[in-house]
Amino acid sequence: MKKLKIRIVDGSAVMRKIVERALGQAGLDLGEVLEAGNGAQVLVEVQKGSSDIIFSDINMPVMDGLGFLKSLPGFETAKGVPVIMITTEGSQARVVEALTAGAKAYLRKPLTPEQVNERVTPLLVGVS
Amino acid sequence: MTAMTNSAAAKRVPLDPAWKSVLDCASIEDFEMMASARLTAYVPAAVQPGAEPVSQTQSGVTAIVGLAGALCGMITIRCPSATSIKLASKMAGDEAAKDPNIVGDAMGELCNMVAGNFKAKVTSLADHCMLSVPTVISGDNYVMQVAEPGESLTVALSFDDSPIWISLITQS
Repeated sequence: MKKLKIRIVDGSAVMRKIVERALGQAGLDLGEVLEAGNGAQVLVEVQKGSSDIIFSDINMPVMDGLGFLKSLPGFETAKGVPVIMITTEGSQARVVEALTAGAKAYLRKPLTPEQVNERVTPLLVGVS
Repeated sequence: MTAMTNSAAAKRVPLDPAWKSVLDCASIEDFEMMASARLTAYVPAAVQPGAEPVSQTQSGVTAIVGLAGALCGMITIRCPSATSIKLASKMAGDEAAKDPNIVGDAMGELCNMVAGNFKAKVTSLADHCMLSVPTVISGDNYVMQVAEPGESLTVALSFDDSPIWISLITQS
């Protein structure tokens, strides 16, 4: 089984660690975990190489998650890479906005293994 | 903060005193899930006759998340510095919690989570209220002033026998 190469984008270093821990607790086989603090930072990293899946917060400084999501189709290395939005913003309007912009799923903080298994695991069937 | 639609921004919701129990519930849930910290009701020690009045200045750490839209104001979490370090340690590990930036980060995220959970539990706010990114203040003898203060409500909780105050402060 291939270990997953993932990107976690969140303005909080503590939250990035908590997300990584939650994904592991949910049973995802994590390999390389790349971190970025905002949308602009991760776009620079995306140019350098691909990943299996991207988890991104919405509310971030410099470039928020929706801005990042809308910029992503311009990158060859991001083609076919599912983006999962993770945020405290659980409103229906934000969910629709994120899904319309290309997100494959939407998780609400704090992450639970149940949420991850229900919404993320199905997206990884072809990966690992 | 993302711009609100005109219709959402125009419909202001007044502070409801019943939200105190919602704020209490949201705080207990998020501290448990994020920091494995079980909060209980805070019972202050009895004030002795002749004791100095409680100071209006604050010490320790205050995390703030702004609210805009149907409800304008902020949610704050305030606690002593030692408590903030304990919470950060539970969230990020003992080594990381030696870094004041990590402590501030952890407190900001706790406040962000409580604000998000609180508004998700109040139907009239869920889709009509936006959150700012967190701001964290730490130090001794500071006073937090709010422009155009309106109403407020505060829940006092305790973690490891140390107080944590969570407040909703609205702007008029």
